[in-house]
Amino acid sequence: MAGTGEAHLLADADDTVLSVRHLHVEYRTPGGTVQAVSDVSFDVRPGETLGLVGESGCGKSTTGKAVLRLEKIASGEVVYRGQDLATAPRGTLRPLRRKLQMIFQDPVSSLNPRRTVRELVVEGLTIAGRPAAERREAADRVLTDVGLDPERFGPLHPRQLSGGQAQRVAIARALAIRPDLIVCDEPVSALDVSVQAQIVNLLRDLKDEHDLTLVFISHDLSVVRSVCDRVMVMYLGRICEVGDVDSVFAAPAHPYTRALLDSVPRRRAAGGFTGPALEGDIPSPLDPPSGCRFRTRCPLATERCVEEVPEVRPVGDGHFAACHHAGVRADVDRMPAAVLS
Amino acid sequence: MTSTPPLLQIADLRTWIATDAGPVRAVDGVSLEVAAGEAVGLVGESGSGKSMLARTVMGLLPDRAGTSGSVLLDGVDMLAASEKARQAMLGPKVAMVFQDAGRALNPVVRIGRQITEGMVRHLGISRSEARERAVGLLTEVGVPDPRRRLSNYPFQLSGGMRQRIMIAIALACEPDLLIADEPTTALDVTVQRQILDLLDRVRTTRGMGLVLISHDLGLVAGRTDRVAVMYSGRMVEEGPTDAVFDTPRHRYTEALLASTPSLDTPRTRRMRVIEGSLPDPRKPPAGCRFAPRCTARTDACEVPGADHLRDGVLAHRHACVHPAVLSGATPLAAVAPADEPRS
Repeated sequence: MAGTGEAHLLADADDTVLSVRHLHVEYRTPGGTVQAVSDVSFDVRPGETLGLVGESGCGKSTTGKAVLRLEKIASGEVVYRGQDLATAPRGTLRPLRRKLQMIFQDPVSSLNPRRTVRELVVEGLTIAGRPAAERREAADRVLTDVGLDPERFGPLHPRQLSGGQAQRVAIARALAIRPDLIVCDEPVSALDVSVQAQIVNLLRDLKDEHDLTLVFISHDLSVVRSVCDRVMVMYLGRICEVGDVDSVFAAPAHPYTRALLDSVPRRRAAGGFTGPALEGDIPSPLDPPSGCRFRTRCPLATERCVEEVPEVRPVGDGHFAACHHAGVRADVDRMPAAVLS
Repeated sequence: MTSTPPLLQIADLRTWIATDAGPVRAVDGVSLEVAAGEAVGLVGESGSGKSMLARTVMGLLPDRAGTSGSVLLDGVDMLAASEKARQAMLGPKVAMVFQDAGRALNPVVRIGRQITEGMVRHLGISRSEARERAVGLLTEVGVPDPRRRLSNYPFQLSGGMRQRIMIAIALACEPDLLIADEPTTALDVTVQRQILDLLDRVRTTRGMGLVLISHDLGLVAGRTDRVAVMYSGRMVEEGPTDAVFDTPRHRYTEALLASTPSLDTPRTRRMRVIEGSLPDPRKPPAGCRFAPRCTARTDACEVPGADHLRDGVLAHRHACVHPAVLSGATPLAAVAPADEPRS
């Protein structure tokens, strides 16, 4: 699970909106330093929706926040259209930040409860000192864009909104300053199924209308499959697998991706699942396993996985995995015991 | 149903919460039976009343709540029983597992005491005997190093481990019925999987009845014998799990299934949506509560009582005036949206 290696990266930075290289994010805790993100590199291509998936502690949200410099970057580059955000001074960062927006899981608590919807959606323009007429016009435009009647919803406060309506307001607010890329951190996880579909469709429509690029962080594999073009799977701060959604979901190459997919309840599978359960718990991020970080729970683990951090390497067309045994089916080709000794 | 009375028999249950703006009708005339050893799924979105139904059975309602109807558990009406009689049922007859084990456990009491407390009270055994049983229970629910865990506090354990502890506590007095309210919603998928496997295993080995409450249709599908679907305090459909999911009759169930992304359905450009939102639970529509959002709605749907449960084949009942037709078409056909399939 190491996720070093650059096979999955585009050679030409001009082809990317965002190029993240060797990103490290660390948290200092009383128990030691947590490597929340370890040597993660990836590209986001213009107009695509890139999914970041994995379980709690995998570093997907931290990665999303670090891209916007909402987390302190320990080392690495975050290059947005040719400019490195990781080292940019505050002054240069500010105008760039307008191009990069984020929406969060809990829409109600991400909105200032004292402001009206109309004030909230143009907050970015207010801070930028835009005139009132422009703000009024922008509020009407973005509220209409997200399917909220400006007359009806403009004067309301966040607590008067349903979860779905609040998430629409959060999206409108991100749109108001005409961003280029939006990082969506679990944007539909707190919503009911019927509302979730409305927001997913809205994001898709807005992406097309406004030429947006999306990074879509989610723990829900079914939603990611439906929304994203490409997907990157993370575990304990490192990349496991990255590739086109169709290839990754149809033929997961990393044992962790396979375990994740096998853990999604399925209507038509006997007992509800298609494969064996993953055993044990995620190891402590304070003391991650050597070599491949997934090896302590991996049915394919060998001595090599203890010693050597696997590099991301191609396993198919537009499909990469960081596993020494990528492509080996755990259930049919379980490694013979001799290899483990 | 067989001639033996069901383990749990809920009849015409109403639960309401008084508010300044009038009563919220959280559960509004619901009947449901669970046989001994049976696994029943209870699904619905927030505001459907599924959790309030469970809380009513357990007597865990806020002070401002009122109830009518009956909840017979092994012949005892939990709504009419004295407080003492009701308390005696909780644990040995019915136990509940909650969504957020972190909050349901007492943060300042060691795990061991939390597990043994109920056993000492209900089973009349000594504390040391209860401790031995607790070790056995923790082993049963897959907690490694159980003896050491007894002296841990909840914060020392992962979310998955805490949920295992919750299940151990629920199982401590050997209940005939376990109500699990969104037991895995706060957990990661691989851990969710472990907990569902665990619930299945203890249910089968103990012959225990299970009510599995979830908003996740896929989760309930593989794990239950029957499923009941709730919407806005009413039961809209109920039947064998496969029948309800393969051939949903109520338009709400059908739409809910179609708008749920699944790994088994073709990828589509757009997800199907249910337009609108839940009705105000203080002033629900007179007839079918889903009618304002339903594409098949007619005037007949707005007649009071239009949403009574209708009997169907093989105990598959629904409350729809215009049920989805039972055709030979696969349910997948209903999932593909009318507009632009993915290229």
